[in-house]
Amino acid sequence: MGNSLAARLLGTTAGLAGLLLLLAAAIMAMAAPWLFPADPFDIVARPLLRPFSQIQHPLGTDRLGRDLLAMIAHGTRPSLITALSVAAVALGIGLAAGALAGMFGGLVDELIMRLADALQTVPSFVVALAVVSVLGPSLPGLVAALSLSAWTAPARVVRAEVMRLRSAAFVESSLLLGQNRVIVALQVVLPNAITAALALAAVIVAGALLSEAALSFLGLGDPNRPSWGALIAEGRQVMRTAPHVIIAPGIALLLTVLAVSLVGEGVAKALSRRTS
Amino acid sequence: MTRVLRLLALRGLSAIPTLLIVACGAFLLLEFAAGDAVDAYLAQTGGDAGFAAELRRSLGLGGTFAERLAGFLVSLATLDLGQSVVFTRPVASIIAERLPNTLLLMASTTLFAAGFGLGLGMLAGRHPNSFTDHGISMAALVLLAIPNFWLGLLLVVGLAVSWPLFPVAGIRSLTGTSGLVGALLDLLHHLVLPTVALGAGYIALYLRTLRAGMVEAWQSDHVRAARARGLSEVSVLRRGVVRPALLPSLVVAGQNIGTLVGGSVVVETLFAIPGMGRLAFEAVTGRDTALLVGVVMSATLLVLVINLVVDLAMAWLDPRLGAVDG
Repeated sequence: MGNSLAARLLGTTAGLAGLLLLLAAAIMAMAAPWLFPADPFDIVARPLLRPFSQIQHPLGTDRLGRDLLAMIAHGTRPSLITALSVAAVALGIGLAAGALAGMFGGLVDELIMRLADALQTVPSFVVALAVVSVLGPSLPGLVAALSLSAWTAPARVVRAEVMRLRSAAFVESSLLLGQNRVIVALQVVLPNAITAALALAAVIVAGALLSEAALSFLGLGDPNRPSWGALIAEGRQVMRTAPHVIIAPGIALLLTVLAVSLVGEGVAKALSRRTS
Repeated sequence: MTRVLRLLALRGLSAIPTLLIVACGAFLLLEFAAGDAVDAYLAQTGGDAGFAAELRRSLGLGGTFAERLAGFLVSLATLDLGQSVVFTRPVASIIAERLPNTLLLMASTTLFAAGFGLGLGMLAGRHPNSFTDHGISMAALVLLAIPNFWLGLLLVVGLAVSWPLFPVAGIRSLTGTSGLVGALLDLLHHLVLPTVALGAGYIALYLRTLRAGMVEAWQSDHVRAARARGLSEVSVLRRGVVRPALLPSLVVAGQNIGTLVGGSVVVETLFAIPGMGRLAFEAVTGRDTALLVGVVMSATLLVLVINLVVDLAMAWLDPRLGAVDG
């Protein structure tokens, strides 16, 4: 345990703070249906109740009298699920594409990297906007829209790592032993390249959280589920007299993104300490 | 000079596959979107099936998939972006009208973020691992985590409504302004809040680059030598630290043009700035696929062109770039 990545992560203040915050968000996401069993869209009190004025509604209510804390809690799960799915899809595609490009080189490499070039040139948020407008604001639609550009960064990292490893002695020897290129790529090269890609996971998750919130803020999220971005958008109409309606969901979003970045920072630090 | 020309040619060539791939993606968008330009047109004018078929033929919308794709690419190559349904005008002319406002916002955001990033980065890198350094690094993480639309709303509530220092929205006052200076001040006045909302996160990116450069430069031999010669800290900073840090800052600027365009979608919508970003949003809400495709293509072209400018600036700053083997 003493030398493991987890222990090192816990050793850094940033990593520890991030993990605790992230844990709080995860608990919120999982416990929301138990803590707030009623429909979060139910009208439960007087509209625009100030925060901390009634113990039953600690964060107050919105312009319709819906409990803000319940809506924020119920909004945690869709946000986290979307962002984590984007990271999983982007890392999966990125690993595969990067490994293929790095292992085979030539035409395969050329095709994959030109596609990556194009997707890194066209503004990713505009792409996401366009894809969501075609596929609709479902979870798969959102994940596809946000992963489309996100896989390129891990693909580049993995490709560079694979190219470096390809000439390493232990890879050359397994190739010389007559092993299949694909098997060598999967068994030998990829496990070594994964750590490099993992460091990018936090960046992808944080970016996806912010982009998803921005899409729902613009009215392109799923209207049937509470979402932080949509809550902020709705709060605009009353923000002059009741700013807490936009401040509370914004802080939830900010803290979640911050938690992810802190964990990412901690992982990067722990990784660099291990290699040095 | 040949170095610059070679760089131009190299970049121009590498832009071709990018543009082709994005164009094919945009074509798929057109294909998958419910309804085509003819449906949109007939919804306004009415007409029977025969008329629709004839219109499709004349617009190159009939035929096989390959024929339609070829027709689309040819019209793109001749800079014909088609007709907008929402605005009932050629897409190209709307984009040409909107582009300057977006460029303005991007320029002011970059200057704002680079300026603050430069200052804070120097402050943080002067004494690595000091209290100031850790504080600024923490602030950078928070800046990166702030949603730009949320920051924009907070700025509106705080600095435009409660304490009306800045205009709530728009790019210029509706009541006229006097003279060129007045118009310029009015424009800058309108740009402050959108610039801060869009630029806050980028401060962190410039700050980190500058800090790293500063830490490195401060330990380098030429800075030590300059200090040993008795040069003042300010002139050492300027020559030994800021100038070498300019190149990486340019790289940061170049890398983030795409996200800047993406961010301008949200910020322009929020502040009602008639730019290209808001146009993308209007195209989506108006189900105007031709307009959306036009915005995607011109945004891509914009990123390519600005990247080229950044490359040329870097080649000018660093003579090694673009040399025969570089």
